[in-house]
Amino acid sequence: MPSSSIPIRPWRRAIIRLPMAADRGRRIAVVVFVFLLLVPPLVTVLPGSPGTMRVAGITLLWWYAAVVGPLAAALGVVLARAVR
Amino acid sequence: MSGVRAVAAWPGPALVAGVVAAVAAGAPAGPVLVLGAAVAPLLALLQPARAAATRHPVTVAIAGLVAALVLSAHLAALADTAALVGARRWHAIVLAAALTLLVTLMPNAGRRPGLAPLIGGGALLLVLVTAGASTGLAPWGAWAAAAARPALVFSGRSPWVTDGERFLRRTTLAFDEGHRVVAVTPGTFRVVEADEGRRVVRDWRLTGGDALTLRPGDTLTAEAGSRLRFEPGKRVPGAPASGSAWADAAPRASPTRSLALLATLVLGACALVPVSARCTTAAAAIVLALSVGATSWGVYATLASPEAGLAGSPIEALLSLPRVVPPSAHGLTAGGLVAVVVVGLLALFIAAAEGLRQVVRAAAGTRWPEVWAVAMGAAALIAVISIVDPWTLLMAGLGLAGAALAAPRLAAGRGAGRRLGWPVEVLGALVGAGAFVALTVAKLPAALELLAAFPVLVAAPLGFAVVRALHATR
Repeated sequence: MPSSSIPIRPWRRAIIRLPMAADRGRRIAVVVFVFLLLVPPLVTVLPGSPGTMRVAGITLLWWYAAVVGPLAAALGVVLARAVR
Repeated sequence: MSGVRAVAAWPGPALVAGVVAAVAAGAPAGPVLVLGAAVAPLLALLQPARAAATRHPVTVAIAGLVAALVLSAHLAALADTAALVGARRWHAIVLAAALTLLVTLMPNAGRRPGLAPLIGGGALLLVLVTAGASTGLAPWGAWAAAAARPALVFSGRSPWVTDGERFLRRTTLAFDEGHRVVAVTPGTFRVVEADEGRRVVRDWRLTGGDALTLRPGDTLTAEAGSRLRFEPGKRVPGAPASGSAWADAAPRASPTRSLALLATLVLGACALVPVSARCTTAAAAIVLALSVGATSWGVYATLASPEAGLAGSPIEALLSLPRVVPPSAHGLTAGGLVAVVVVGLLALFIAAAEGLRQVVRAAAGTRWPEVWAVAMGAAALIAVISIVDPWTLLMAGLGLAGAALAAPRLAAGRGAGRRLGWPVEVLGALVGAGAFVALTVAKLPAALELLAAFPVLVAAPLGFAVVRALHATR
């Protein structure tokens, strides 16, 4: 009995080891998280006080600190762990 | 390890109360604290995988000390809760420590790691939703209403006005307008008068019913345990001048202090939150609920009782919300809601303790099973004798954890070998812990006040550098 009658062509593929790709995703996520944390201190030194602008009665800085930043971090950690 | 168990050590009573109190008081560091408390444990979940922890008596001792400090912060928060509802502090400390020790040492204690955080979070969420519904305002509506107030004043229904409240710690109040306060119980009060540029210090020994008149610019220091009654309609001493000042305090925060606070939170989380969590969705949901829930709680609290914080404990802001709920709110009375908050805080403490037990266990393995019980006993002792507030103890615990556990571990990576017969990571931990303790107890000049408040800024880089330097000399 022949071993196989289906011709298999060897395609050239870029081989990326999975742990290395996962570690890259983790490193990117860490950089993004550090940036997320640094936004409020950076906003306080920017001219014009952009953090005091109000949206629906609440300052942008508080919207970011209580909702946008934690939400972005939550999505980020789920995505980063999904890559692993 | 599940995501719930991974972050269970994080949102204990002291952290939740500290975040709520910062929002309610309009602290300049409020937004950074809310963001850091939410993002730090998620960042910790992304730490690189490492070899098994170095088992060494020094590491075990440091892990035990960190656990004792963090546990004492949470126990102090529970003790403040007990004192504010009329019970004795040490009763609450002993009961909570004994119950938690029993729960965490039971056979199959870790089988349902999500139960305690679920009960704690659910209880606090129930109170938040009930209190929010009773105001008829969404959190952003409450924010706008709080920011629109012309001044933050005592209401006629405030317990500080009707019966007088007790100071849990030595507290100094700064008065911006004339005020007549009445001593409810006998006590000694120090008044510093600002008299045409001169400062005149007077100590007043008052009996129950005696009044004291203060002028704008005066400060009043009340000892722990003393009770005072304030006038309705007067500005709350120490509070922002108006709702607008409360809402706009954050952009005036010092960037260096904000960065120092973030460094303490992130490094502390890296030490306490394990890296090997499988399901991060639950962990992400927990910290998201922490940021949104604690901010909303603080906003409702400052709208309902802007004086929450006078007593000298962050717990007062947490308890002020259920206390102002009208009796008809969904059939739940204010007393019932306070009881729900107490149950929620106790459940969060048990969850945090179980998470800290895992930290001690990772350091000690099965060789020193008694370390956990010793840490809990030491925490109870610290909480009983401590005169500082829970937040100070929590920052000390997180700072020490960051300097002596997280920084050397991050520097060592998958192993840094041995030098002088000791594991390099342990040498880094010794240097980090030594620097942290030295900076904490040393009397630094005023120019270095930031380092005295956040010793981790020097101690963690030192611990990290020692490990890297010794590793490089191989």
